[in-house]
Amino acid sequence: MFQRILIANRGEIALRVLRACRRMGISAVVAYSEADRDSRAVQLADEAICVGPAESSRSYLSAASILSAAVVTGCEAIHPGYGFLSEDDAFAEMTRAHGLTFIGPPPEVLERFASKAGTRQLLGAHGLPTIPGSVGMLRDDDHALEEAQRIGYPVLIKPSAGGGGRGMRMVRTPRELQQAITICRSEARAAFGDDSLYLEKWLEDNRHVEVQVIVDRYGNGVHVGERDCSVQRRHQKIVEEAPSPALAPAARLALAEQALRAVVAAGYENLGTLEFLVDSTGAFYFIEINCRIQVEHPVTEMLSGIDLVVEQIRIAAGEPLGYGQSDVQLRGHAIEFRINAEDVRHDFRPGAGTVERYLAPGGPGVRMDSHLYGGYEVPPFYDSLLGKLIVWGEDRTTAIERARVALDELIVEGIVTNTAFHRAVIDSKPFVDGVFTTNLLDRVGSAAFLAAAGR
Amino acid sequence: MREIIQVARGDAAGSDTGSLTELARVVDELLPPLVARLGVSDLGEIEVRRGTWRVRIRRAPVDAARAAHAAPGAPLATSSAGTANNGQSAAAAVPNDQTVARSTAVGYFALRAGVVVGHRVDRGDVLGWVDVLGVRKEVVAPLDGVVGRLVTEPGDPVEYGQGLIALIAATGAGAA
Repeated sequence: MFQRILIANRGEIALRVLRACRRMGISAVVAYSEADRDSRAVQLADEAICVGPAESSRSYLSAASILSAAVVTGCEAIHPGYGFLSEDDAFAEMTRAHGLTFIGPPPEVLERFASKAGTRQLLGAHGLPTIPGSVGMLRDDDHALEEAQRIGYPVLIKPSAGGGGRGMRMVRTPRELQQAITICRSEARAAFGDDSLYLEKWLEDNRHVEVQVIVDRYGNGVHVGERDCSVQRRHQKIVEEAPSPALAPAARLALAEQALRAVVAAGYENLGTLEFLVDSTGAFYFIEINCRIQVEHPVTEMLSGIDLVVEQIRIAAGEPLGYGQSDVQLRGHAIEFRINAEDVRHDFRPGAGTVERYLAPGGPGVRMDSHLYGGYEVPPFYDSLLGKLIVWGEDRTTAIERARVALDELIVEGIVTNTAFHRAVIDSKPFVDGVFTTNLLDRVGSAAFLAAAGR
Repeated sequence: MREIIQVARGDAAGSDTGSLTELARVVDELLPPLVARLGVSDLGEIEVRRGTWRVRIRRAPVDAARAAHAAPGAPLATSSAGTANNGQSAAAAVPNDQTVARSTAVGYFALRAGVVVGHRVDRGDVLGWVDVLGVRKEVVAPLDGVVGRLVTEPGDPVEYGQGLIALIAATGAGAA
């Protein structure tokens, strides 16, 4: 096992990884940007090292700075968290070339699963149904129009290098496609440095269901059930829960087993999440794999009692999984709320500033993963995630009841948050009935949704 | 601590190359220990003669230091000494907030050969490097001045923004 790990991330996930290191008796070094000097992770770290200015391209995204920081602080491994360098196969390769371990899939595995189109093809060949889409990347407008015609409108234009729902656009007509494709290309080039696009059939009323898998270096793997992330706004997940209310227990199990079989057969290693769209008939389509720890991982931890970050570190260190599928017991229901610094009343505009007061909720089945503290200044340079409130109950009803209590208890003063919006979501009929679809908020309009909830 | 450093020719001979070389040696070898000595002593002033040059350092009164602050970018006494006439003297007041050359990268710090305490530098001069996985990132002087102190030992690991070399700013408060 590693003696010392560099945590190359910030915010709540840096803290989450730090806690896993502490538990395992591993010394944790936190790499931080100048904007995060006062962060909770830096305060708690065994050692902290400034890797660059606030601008993430020169700090958290700078492979050389992060790797050099790991070398000079005597770390044996780097935990990249999520986002930033977490799925960068070139960075993973560099890390290995310097004799260090990347905590995640090995570079060749990351490379194999780097392209979304390639991954759909690969896992499709291993038995996962995929959404009808363009064959390969779009060469030009004519090719795009041709492919869209073949797939059938509406279609979704997606950047190959994208992630987190960024840079995608849904179009309903050839005219819309032609207009959107130019914008998508320039956006993809600016955001990811790669303007490759592909098309996917747009499923009108769908649910987002994802399967968590853990696979060790020796081909032993388990799934840890699924998560339902259908409460989304502009392709950004807001609320996640497990089990998925969209699927019957037998269907959930079938999906998870099929996903696990496919990734193990395709040679996957370490923690992974396979994302699916589930349509109104219950048919599921594989869309992409996330080769890292995810924001919503605590939902699965609450059900399984498995510390996913610890598993990630263990597997990267070469340890065998040590248990089988029958040892994974999922119990109860969990819901996670992403508490963001967002002004819901002004189109979810991100906020920044000083947290004047912060009080986390508590009680049975309540977990708060947050890096906030009273007096902490939320820097304006990064994403708006302030923390995650996770609630657990024996059943979905209990979980929702606990969520209400916990959301009402949460106090964050000094900066604007989306807490009231969460309260509106869990009180809404679609959520209570378990029929929330990914397009619901965008179709209704978040403002109208809030108004209808009387908030 | 604030000091005033005064360097002047002690004789009436015209300037020549030999005495300029001597001046450089005075500045490089004599000034640093003198500044250090004054810093730890109760003395108000130290004066040393070396060859044809006279070096005097004394604690600066507060107003002189302020004047030095008000004239950034003025030439350092020694940098203008070559053109200075006989008997003329120049003084540099050293503010206690010495300007520091910082690391712009994460890696191991290496000092450029010849960069020692008392070494005179111009803004932009390369003082050393930070070795980032075998790639050298230059550490440059942020201003004209004299190397006052090594904040970080060569060979040490450094983080982004870390202070490496403290410089004594070149100011011309007392320049004639």
